[in-house]
Amino acid sequence: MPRYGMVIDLNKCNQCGACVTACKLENNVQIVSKENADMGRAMYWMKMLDINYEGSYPEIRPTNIPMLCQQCDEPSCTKVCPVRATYKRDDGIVAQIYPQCIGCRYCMANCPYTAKVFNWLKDEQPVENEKCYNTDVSVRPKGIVEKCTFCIHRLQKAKENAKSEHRKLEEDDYIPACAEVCPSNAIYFGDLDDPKSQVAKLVHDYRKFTLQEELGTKPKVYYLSAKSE
Amino acid sequence: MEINRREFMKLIGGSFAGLAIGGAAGTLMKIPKSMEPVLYTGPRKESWKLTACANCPGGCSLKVRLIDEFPIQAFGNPLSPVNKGGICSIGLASVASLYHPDRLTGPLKNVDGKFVSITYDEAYKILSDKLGKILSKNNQDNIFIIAQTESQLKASIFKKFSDETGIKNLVLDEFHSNSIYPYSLISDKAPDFIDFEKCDYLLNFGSRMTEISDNPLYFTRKIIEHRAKGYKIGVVQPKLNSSVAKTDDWVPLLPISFADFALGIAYILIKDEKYDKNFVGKYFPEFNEYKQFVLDNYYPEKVEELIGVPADKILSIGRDFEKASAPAAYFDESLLYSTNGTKNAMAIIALNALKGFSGYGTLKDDLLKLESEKNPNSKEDVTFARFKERVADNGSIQALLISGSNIVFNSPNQEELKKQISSIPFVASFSSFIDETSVLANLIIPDHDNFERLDLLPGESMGFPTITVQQPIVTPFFNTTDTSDVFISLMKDLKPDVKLTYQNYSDYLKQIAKQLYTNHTGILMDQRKPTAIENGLKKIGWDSSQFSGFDDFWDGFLEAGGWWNPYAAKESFNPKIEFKQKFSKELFTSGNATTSVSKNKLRMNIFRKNFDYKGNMSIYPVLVEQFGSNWTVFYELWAEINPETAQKLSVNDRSKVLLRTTSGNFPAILIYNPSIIPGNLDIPFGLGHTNFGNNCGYNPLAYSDDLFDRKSGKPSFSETIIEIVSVEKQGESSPLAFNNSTDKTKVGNQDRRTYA
Repeated sequence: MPRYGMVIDLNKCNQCGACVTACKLENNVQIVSKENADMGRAMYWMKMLDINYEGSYPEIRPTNIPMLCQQCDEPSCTKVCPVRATYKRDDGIVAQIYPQCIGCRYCMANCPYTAKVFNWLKDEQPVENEKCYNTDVSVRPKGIVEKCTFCIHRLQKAKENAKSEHRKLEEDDYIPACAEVCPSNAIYFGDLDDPKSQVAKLVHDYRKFTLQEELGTKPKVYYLSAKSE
Repeated sequence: MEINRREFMKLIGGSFAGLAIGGAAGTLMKIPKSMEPVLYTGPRKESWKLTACANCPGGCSLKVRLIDEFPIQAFGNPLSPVNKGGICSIGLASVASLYHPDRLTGPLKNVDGKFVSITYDEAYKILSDKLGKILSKNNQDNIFIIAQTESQLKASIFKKFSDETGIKNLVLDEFHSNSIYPYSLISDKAPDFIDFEKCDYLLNFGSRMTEISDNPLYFTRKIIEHRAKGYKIGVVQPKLNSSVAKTDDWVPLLPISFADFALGIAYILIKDEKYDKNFVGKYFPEFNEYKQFVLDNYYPEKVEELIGVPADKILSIGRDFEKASAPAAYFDESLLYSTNGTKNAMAIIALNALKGFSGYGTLKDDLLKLESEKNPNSKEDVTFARFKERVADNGSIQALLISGSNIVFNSPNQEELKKQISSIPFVASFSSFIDETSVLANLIIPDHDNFERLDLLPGESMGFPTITVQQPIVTPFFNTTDTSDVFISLMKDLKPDVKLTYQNYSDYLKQIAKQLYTNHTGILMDQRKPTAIENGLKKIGWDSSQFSGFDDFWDGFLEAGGWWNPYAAKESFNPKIEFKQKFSKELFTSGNATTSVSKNKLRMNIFRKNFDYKGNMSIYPVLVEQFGSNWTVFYELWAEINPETAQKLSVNDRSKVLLRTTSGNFPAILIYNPSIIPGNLDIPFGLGHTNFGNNCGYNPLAYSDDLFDRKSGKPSFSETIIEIVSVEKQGESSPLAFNNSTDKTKVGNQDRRTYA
């Protein structure tokens, strides 16, 4: 059984935001109005974490990072869900069962990465995007929590394709939208337990770190520091 | 009670009880009636088609996902050497424009201030008669054409039209041509590409290389590779944007001072005698005068005094540049957005000459013979500056044709420009939307959407030629017409003796593609890069192409989504540099520098983000929402300020402020950003439309001083003085005072519309 994980090389990432756009469109994440955005209801499964800076002007550089559900091996969100609407699959992906969610938001409160978002509104995209729904992804009803799923629908599709071609799933068959579109190839994705996979090699890079390691959540999203020395 | 458009449509939809969700969507979305059955009851069959993104100069290949016959998503084509599977936010969002509810569905005629639908034949007759009348009186000089396109082939049709009809006033706004325009002033040729195989130091003057440039995705990859090789990159930019984020040296500098900085670098090379004596001796006849001028005026301490960049910094970057065996000082169109635009470019060209343009390269053979190049008289460049002069001279322009350009939104002093355009007796637009410019037209013949059009997008910036095919993913939804076809028809009707070898634009494109087929060079984009052995075989005449004829090639060409030639021969770039003017400070600086500002006044530096190319973002909802999301600012304008400057002015982070320029007042959210040049207020460009897409926010350019680069006609983005006139008090739920004092008449914000 694979254990899916992601590595984001901050030395390559130039914060262009393509991953954010791709995630939003791939997963039919709702585009909200100004009024709702002002109330903190803007929904991003992947976002550029608020900008921080290293150094002082003029020798200064931004250090913002693409932030998504960290797909923890010890997820704190699953432990508090009273209805088991969020759970960790055998392949390591922390998934959501939308119809089961009662919208209590305990999982949101318990996620140290603030990676989950709540659907305050009935799904309603701007007119321009109504035809651009990804038909592989269900839209979420009002009142439930959602988050990055590593584009789990792509895994399902890739498995079906591989099965129809009578072969095993290969590494490149399944890749989330953010990793697919990244112009600087900064996002790597694959099976962390497959020693031949690129992610398995990169998690041993000396630049690697995970967010809030001290909490023991064991994230499967790794970052490679921008520092090259 | 206010009812917005969406609610209104819902109310209407509500009367048709029992309509399926899809049906309700159909009433809101712009799709043709004939396609509605497919939308509701189609088999939901998935297919993929290739096309090109024409939303910026990059020419990336798109892999478009369709369900039934409807495109729903766009991704990057992994087999394209241009973008190698990557794609930017604009490309990802681009499908939405196809279904935009504000798309024009057919030609419109302005009757007493209201647009009424007419047939294409009627519209064409009006246009043809109007132009025919003016041309019959030999008043060609009273007609202007303004065309913004990223297709060199479409541009060549405009040029051909201009040549054949004698309408010399063609203002062509095309990124690549704009980028190489300064070379035409002092050099006999322009480079095709940065030779990254040789280049070991890159000094970027103001280009947003990885965001919007000749080839942003290629540059993104190359900059990563360049750094991985241990080579340095320096960037001279007024803002620490994503093109700067991963570079070694950032020189925060306003564009008005770029030439001084470039001349300061030149001083180091000349003083250290580390310039290419052979090159300057051969190709730079005025070098001795230039050398003396630089040595007399641009020693580091003097430059520090002029522009505030520490002499040590100038020295260290100068030394990096001189040490490199093949440095490249790079600029593109972005440099021109300053009153000193072309003058800056000339100083940078001269700096490159000192190192023999060793970081650049050029292709040995021209990729294609374009229509316009057959006429040697078509070289004359008319810039927006000439249009500005003429349109100000009331009554001197009798007709204006505008294609692809929203010049009102992209210009300062918009109210005046609107008045001037409105006073032109006949204005025809080819816009797919009503926007700030097309709303002033007498006639609109809407162009196709990008997903409905056939075009070829050539590129040479990677060191080998590529052509990406933009092809119809869907048959045109509405009664729209390819603008190139309108101009070809006009050419035939207005000049019956003109000899054209093609009947329409599609024919012309096929003729161009035939050149590729008959030359037997290059490969289609469905193949991997050839091995060294294959490359060698190709060079000695071995050809593996399996096409039975041109039609077969054409089909393959469309199916692969493009063509490229990894075998193309390159050579070093050796232009002749001649200023033909006495070297003086006036040659390189316009004298409008606003390096110091008085107390409480700030410099407004308008910056572009990679979500917007020349004002096109507002039709893409996902981009408008994401625009300020880094700062958690949504659908509003923000202004970034250095915290030290802000504290001197006693304004807090995230406070709502009212800003004032000589052109009016507008509100913004103030954001502390320690990377902003002290004394600057950095404001993003892209919001504030009044007639196009989402109308949220304000357009800072509308409040800019009317300052232009005199040569290229590009507006200055960074030379307006601005002040913070009031700050919303904390705890006030509504900034009422702001609404009262915001001068909305300046930009005509009466009909502001946001998503509800």
